[in-house]
Amino acid sequence: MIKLSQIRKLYDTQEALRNVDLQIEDGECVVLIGPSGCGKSSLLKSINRMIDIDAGTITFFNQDIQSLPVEQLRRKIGYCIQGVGLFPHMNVKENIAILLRILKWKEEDIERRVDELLLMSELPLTYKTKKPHELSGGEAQRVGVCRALATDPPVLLMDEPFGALDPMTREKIQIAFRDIAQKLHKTVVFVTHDIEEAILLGDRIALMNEGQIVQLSTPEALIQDQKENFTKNFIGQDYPLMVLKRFSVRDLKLKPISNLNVTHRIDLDTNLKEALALCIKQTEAVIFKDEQNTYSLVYSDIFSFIRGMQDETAH
Amino acid sequence: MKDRIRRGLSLILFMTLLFLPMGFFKVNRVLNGSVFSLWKIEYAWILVLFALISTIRLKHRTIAYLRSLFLILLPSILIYVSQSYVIAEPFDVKVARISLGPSIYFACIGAWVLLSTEAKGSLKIFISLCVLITLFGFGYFPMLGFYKEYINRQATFFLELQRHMSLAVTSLLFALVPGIYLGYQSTRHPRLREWIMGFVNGFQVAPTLSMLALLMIPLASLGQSFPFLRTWGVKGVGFLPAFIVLSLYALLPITSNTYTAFKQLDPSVMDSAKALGMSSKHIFRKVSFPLALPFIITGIRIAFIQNIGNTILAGLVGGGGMGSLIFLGLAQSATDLILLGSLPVVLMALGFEVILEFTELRLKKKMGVLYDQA
Amino acid sequence: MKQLIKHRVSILYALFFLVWIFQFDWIKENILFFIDDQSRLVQRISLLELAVQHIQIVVLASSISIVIALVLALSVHLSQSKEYRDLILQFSTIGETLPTAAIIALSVPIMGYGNGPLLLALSIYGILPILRNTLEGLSSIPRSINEAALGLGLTAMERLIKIELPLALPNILTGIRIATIINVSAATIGATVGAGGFGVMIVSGIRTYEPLLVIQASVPVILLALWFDRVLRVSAH
Repeated sequence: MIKLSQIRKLYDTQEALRNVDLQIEDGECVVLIGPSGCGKSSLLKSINRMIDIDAGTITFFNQDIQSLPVEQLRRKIGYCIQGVGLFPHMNVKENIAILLRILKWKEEDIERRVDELLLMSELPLTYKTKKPHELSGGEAQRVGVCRALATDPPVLLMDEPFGALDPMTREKIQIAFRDIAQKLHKTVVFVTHDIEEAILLGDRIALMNEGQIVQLSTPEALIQDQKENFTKNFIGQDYPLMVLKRFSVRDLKLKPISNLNVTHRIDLDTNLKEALALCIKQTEAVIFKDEQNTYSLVYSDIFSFIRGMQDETAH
Repeated sequence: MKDRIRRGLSLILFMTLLFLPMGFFKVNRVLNGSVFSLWKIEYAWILVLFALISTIRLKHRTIAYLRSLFLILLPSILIYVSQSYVIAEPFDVKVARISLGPSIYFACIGAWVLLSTEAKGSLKIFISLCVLITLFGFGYFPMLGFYKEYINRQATFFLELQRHMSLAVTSLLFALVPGIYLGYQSTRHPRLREWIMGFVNGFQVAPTLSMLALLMIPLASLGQSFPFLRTWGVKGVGFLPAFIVLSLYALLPITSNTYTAFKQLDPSVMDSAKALGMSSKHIFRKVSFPLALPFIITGIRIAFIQNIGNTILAGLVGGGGMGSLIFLGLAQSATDLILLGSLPVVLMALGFEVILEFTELRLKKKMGVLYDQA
Repeated sequence: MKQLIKHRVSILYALFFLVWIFQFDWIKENILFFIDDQSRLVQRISLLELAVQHIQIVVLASSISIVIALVLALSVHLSQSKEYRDLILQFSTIGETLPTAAIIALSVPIMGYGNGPLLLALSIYGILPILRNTLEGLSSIPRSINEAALGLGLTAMERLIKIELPLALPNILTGIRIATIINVSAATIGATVGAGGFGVMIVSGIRTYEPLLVIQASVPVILLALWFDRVLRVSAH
C-alpha cells in the first residue's frame, strides 16, 4: 500500500503539486490523468523519488520512503517511461537482467527469469540476443516492462509508456499489460492523458488539475458522479460510451438459449462498445455462440448492465 | 557515382605518367639532375597501357583478381622500373641517385584510389604499402636517392623514429587521464566548464613553436639551479619541453570530446537506469561510461594524430624525432632527406587515423550508438 | 557609436596589437624589464613588417581555403548525392590528418623555399573546417523552408542565394573562424622554410636562446588570433 499525504512540490515559484492526498491499495491500478502540467507525472515520480517533494510524506508499505536508501526503494518499484530507455549497448537479455546481475543472481536463475518474463509478454525467446535498435516501438516497450518486472517488484509506476505507439499496437499492449498486472497482482500507478486508456486500465481514476486531485472514482462512477465542471469538460460528453469498452459481453452474464441461427461472429470477450455498435447495425437480436452455448444479445441487455454498474457504485 | 569519380581521377593520374617527369637523375646529392620521363625507359609504356586499361570497370572475376594484383604491385613496379634510367655520361654508381618525379607519385596515388573502389580496398592499399616498404627495406630500390639517404643514416633513422613515437605516445598517455577527468567534470559542473574550456582552448591559440620556445627558458634555469633535476632530463632542450607542450595540446581534443561524449547520453536511458535502483557507481560503470566510450576515443584519435604532427616541431628544440631529419634536410636542401623525414610521419598519421576511425566505428556499432543518428 | 560598443572587445585586442607592434621598445623597457635582453643580433626586419607579412599570409591562405571549400560544398549540396558528399568529406579529412609541418617540408622540393609551401599547407588544412561547417549549415535548414521556397516558384539557384546561403551563413562563418585561427598560429611554422611572418622572429629566438624575441613575436600572434576569433564570432550574429 502506498500512502501520499499532503504532497507539495514547487518548481521555482510554481506549485506543481498542492497538498495532494492519495492512497493506493495493494493490487489496484490507479490512473493519474489530466491536462498537461496538472502534476500527474510529478506525483508519480515522487513515489520512487525521481523527484524530491518539498512537503508531505509518502509511505511505502508503511515505511517512509525517505527512511530507505533510495536505491533499495527503487529496486522494489518498477518504472516504465515513454522513451523506454533501454540500454542501447546491451541486448534484450542483458537489459532485462541488469538488476539481477547486480544482485548477483546465478546464471541459470537469470536465464530462467528472463525466459519467464519474455513468455509472459508474448515475446519470442529468440529476441534475447537482439539489440534495442532492432526492435519495433511496441516490442521495445514490452522489453521495458519485462525489465521493470525482473526483480518482481510489488509496485509498477508507468509514465505514459504507450504514448508513442500507433493505435493498433497501443491497444494490444494495453490489454496485454492489464492482464499481466492483474495476474501478478501488481499495484500499478499509471499516468496518461488518454481517457480511454484510463478507462481500460484503471480500477480507479484520479483526475488532476493544477496540482490537485479533482476527483477520484471508479470509471463507472464517473458516468454520473461528476463533481466539477472541469470533470465534465475533460472526460467529454461521450464518456459513457467509452466506459463500455471496459467491459465485455461476458460481464453481461447472458443466459444460453436454444440453438438459433448465428448471425454474428462475436464472442464473450468482445467489448461492450463493439457489441453495442453491432446492436445498432442489427435491427433484431444479435445471435452468437461460443464453444458450448448460443446466446442472444439486444441493446437493452447492455443498458441494464451499465445502469446496474452505476447503481452499484452509487451505493 | 562515387566510383566513377574515383576511376576518372585515377585515369587522369595515370595519364600524368605520359607527360610529366617520372624522375630526376642526379649525379650527386646536391646538384639538380636531368629530368627524365617515362618514354626514356624501354617498354615502360606497356605498364602505362595496362594502368589505363585497369581504370575500366570489370565484371569478370579472374580478370578483376589480376587487376587487383596489378594495382597492388604497380607502385613498386613503377619505382623499380624508374631505376633503369641511365644517362649517357659516366657517373659514380655509389653517389648518383634517382629522385622520383611527380608522375610516379601521382600514379601511386592513382593506383591506391583505384584500389579503394574495390572490395576490401583499404586492406589492398595496406598490402600495397607493405609490399613497397618491404621491397624498400630489402634494398630493391638501390638507385633511389631516398634509399641512399636511408642507408646512410639507418641508425639515426630508427633512433629518431623511435623517439618520435615515444614522444607522441607518452605525451598522449600523460594527457589522457586528466583530459577525461576534466571532460567528465565539465558535464557535472557547468560553471567549471567555462574555466576548463577557456584554459584548454587557450593553448590552441598559442603557436606550438612559441610554447616550445617559452618553456625552454624556465626548464633551462630549473636545470641549472637544481643539478639533480638535470640528470632527470630537466633542461632547456630535449625531451621534456616537447613532452610538456604536446601533453598540453593533447588536452583540448580529449577534454572537449569527453565532454560531448557524456553530454550526448540519452536522458531516458539515464533515467531508467536511475529508476531501476542502480547506484551511481553502477550507472557510471555499466551505462554512462560504455556509451560514452566511442566518443572519448574520437578525442583520443584527434589528439594522437595531432601529436604525431606536432612532434615534428620537437626537432627544433632538440627533442629528436623525425623533425630533426626534416629540418636537417631543409637546411641542406637535400630533398631525399626531407622525404626520409616526412613520409614516415605522413604514413603514420594516415595509418593511425584509419585504424582508430575503424575502432571508433566498431565501438559505436557495438554500443548501439550509431543507429540513433539516423 | 553602438557599433563601437558592440565591438569593444575586438577593438581592445586591436589596440593592444597595434601598441605592441609600434611601441615594443617602450614595452620592453617598462613591462618586460625583468627578462634579460641579450639580443646580440640587430633585427633586420621590423616587427611591423613581420606583422604585415603574417597578416597577408593568413588572409591569403584563408581566402584560398574559403574559395575551394565553398565550391566543394556547393557542388556537394547541389548534387544531393550522399555518396559524393561522403567522398568529398573523406578527401577533406585527409587534408586535416596530414601534419602541416610535413606538408610544408614536402612542398619545398617542388615550390622552393619561401611563402609558397606555407600557403599550400595552410590552404589545404583550412578546407575541412569550412567545408564541414558549410555543409552542416546547409543541411540543418528545416525542410519546410525549402519546400515553401519551392512552392513560391524560386529556382534552385535563387533558393540557394536568397535563402539557403544566408541561413547557413553563421555556420560558414564559424568554419572560417576556426580555419583562420588555426592559420594564424600555424603560420609561424613557415619560418622554418623561409616564409615571412612572426614565425621568423620566433624561430630566431629559439635558435639564439632569446626568450625576449620569442615573446616579442608570440604575443602579437596570440592577439591576432584572439582578434580574428572575436570579430568572426560577433559577425556570425
